Amino acid sequence: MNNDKVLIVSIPTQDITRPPGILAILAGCCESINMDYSILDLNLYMYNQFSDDIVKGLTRDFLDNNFKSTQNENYYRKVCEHLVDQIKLCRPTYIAISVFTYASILAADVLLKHVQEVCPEIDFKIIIGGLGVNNRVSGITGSKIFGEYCLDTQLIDYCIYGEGDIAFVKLLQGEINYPGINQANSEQILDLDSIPTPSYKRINPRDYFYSNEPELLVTGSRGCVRDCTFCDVAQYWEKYVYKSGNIMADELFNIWKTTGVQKFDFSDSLINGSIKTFRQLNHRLIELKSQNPDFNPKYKGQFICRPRNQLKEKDYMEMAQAGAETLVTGIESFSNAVRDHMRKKFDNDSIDWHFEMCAKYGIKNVLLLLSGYVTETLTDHELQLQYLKKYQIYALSRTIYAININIGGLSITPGTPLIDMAGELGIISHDNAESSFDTNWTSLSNPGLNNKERLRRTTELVHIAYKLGYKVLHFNQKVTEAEQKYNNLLDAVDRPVFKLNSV
Amino acid sequence: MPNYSIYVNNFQLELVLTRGINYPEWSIEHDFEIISQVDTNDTQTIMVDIPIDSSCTSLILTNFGKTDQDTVIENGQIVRDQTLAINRVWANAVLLEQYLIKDQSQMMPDYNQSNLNYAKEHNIELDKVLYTDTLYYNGTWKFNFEQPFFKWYNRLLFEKLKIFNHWVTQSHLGIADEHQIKKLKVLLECLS
Repeated sequence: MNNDKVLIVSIPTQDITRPPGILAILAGCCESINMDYSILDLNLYMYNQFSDDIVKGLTRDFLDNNFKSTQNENYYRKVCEHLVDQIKLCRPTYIAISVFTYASILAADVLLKHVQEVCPEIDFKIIIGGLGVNNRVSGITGSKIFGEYCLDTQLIDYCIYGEGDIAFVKLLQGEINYPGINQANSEQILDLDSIPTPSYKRINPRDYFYSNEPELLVTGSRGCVRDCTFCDVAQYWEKYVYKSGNIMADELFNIWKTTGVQKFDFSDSLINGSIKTFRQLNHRLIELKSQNPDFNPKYKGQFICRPRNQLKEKDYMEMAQAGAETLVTGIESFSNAVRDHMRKKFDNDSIDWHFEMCAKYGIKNVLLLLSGYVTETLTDHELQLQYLKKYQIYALSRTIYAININIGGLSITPGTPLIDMAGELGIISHDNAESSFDTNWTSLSNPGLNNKERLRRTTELVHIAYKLGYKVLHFNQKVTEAEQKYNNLLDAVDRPVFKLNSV
Repeated sequence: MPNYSIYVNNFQLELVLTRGINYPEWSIEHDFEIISQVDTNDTQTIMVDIPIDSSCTSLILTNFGKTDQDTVIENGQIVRDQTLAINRVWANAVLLEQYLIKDQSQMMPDYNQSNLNYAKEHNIELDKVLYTDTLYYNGTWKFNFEQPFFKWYNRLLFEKLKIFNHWVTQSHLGIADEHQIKKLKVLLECLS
């Protein structure tokens, strides 16, 4: 082991029910080259340190990338001070900070400046990475993306763009010109079986705010086999790549051996993108269970419905045997026409089949609905309501464990196929907002579906779902969000119309 | 064709029978059909289909014929015992949570004379009702429920749901506050 040491840091704001997956990934990278490391989760520290109300206020500020009060900023500076204490304690050679999403930019910016101010004499290199390094927040980064802004202002030494599994290792080994380091020229990793295995040796999942038992995030694939019009996954991973089912199952088994945790949450866009690999995963898990009676894994992950001739009853039976507990299933719409336009590539018969099998084998689902899609007609919307009624039995039995409906309907995200289709669909934007998500749009090909109508449809869906006994995820927050959007509608006066540019 | 009714009109039971000298004898207080039976060693797994009226609110199974010889004892140890377990239950083809089945089950045992004698000798008061899904004695197993079944079932699920911290309650379970529900109705009226 060489004398270098890495301090791996995650920052607000993130899910608090389990350790951020990146901590284990970077720990695995360090172990793969025998480099010492420590782990520090400042997000967890924040939750442990402050009252719920303070945490809620800070979380809102991080989501908006703006401190609403000096008091909140001071609270967060106490979190930053904890990092400084740890730096003084462990004297790391490198500090690796994960900027998970745009909602970590304010936290990262303040943290980096604080560290620079408080410990200029300590010699270490700062590395950042994560999806957030590609985001712009004009109040912080100006016109630059966060990674570029940090490099230009010398807040950091290195920024890793794209997947870090190999680039991070290369950087620690001194190969600072490896693709992806300080330049957005990385290529997608195509062989996931060859990257370092995540390590949970120094992470305690029981420190987190889990529900009935601790769970851990795992990754079996990157990218997606679909190219849904509203989704930007293809922007980050052009190809769908995956670990072999056997390797993935063995990874779960080894995590259980290390941590005792039996509950796993797949970060994959789809756990059944490759049916062959998915079957292999389930077969191997069943085999490991039979050899180790105490190994009783439960997994959840995002799932795509497939026709009954592709996913057979035996597949569902084996999923249940292997430990499939909850599937996050992107149905989006119960209209075949809408779903066809989305390129989801399954029909309503496949949805019936999926829920029938899940009900039979006791597999739960989180149902994702996307109301107010560009081509959605009033008839399509009424079909959504009819299907909620039809599947009430699944809501009450919790085969549909929960339902997620995004208030205000479809957001058109940069990097999605819908941006390319904007001209063809006559999509016009009513905002000149810098926000990357455009919710205030109209399609000339479906003019009745304006902002107000989308809000009405989503609000109606939430209302009907609630009345029928569905558990609407984040119900209280969604009602508040609907109220805010409604007030914004009332405030809106004739504003200029901007056309969405194709990318 | 799946049955989407929230009133139960069909149950399927997976019964697992273990043999003492003989297998248990059983009957169900409804018309039923055995749809499969698998025998392995001293165990039978039987799938039973029970169509019921949607006004029905109980399922009754009677277990009988067990004798003292069906508890096989060798060298002071029970090596084999006749039992009947209600292993899994489906209502309208939906697999139900077994812990709830167990909680809602009432077994009225019809003790053998030897059980009664043993209890008397050792001053043990035998339970008149057992809450179990595994029947070790002759007797009647009753599963009481309400209709519409799935509304009743949903209520039970939530009563039993154990939440260990409020972050999960708020963010993951769709817990709805009363004032937010009222606000939603008002919003919908304004938007309509």
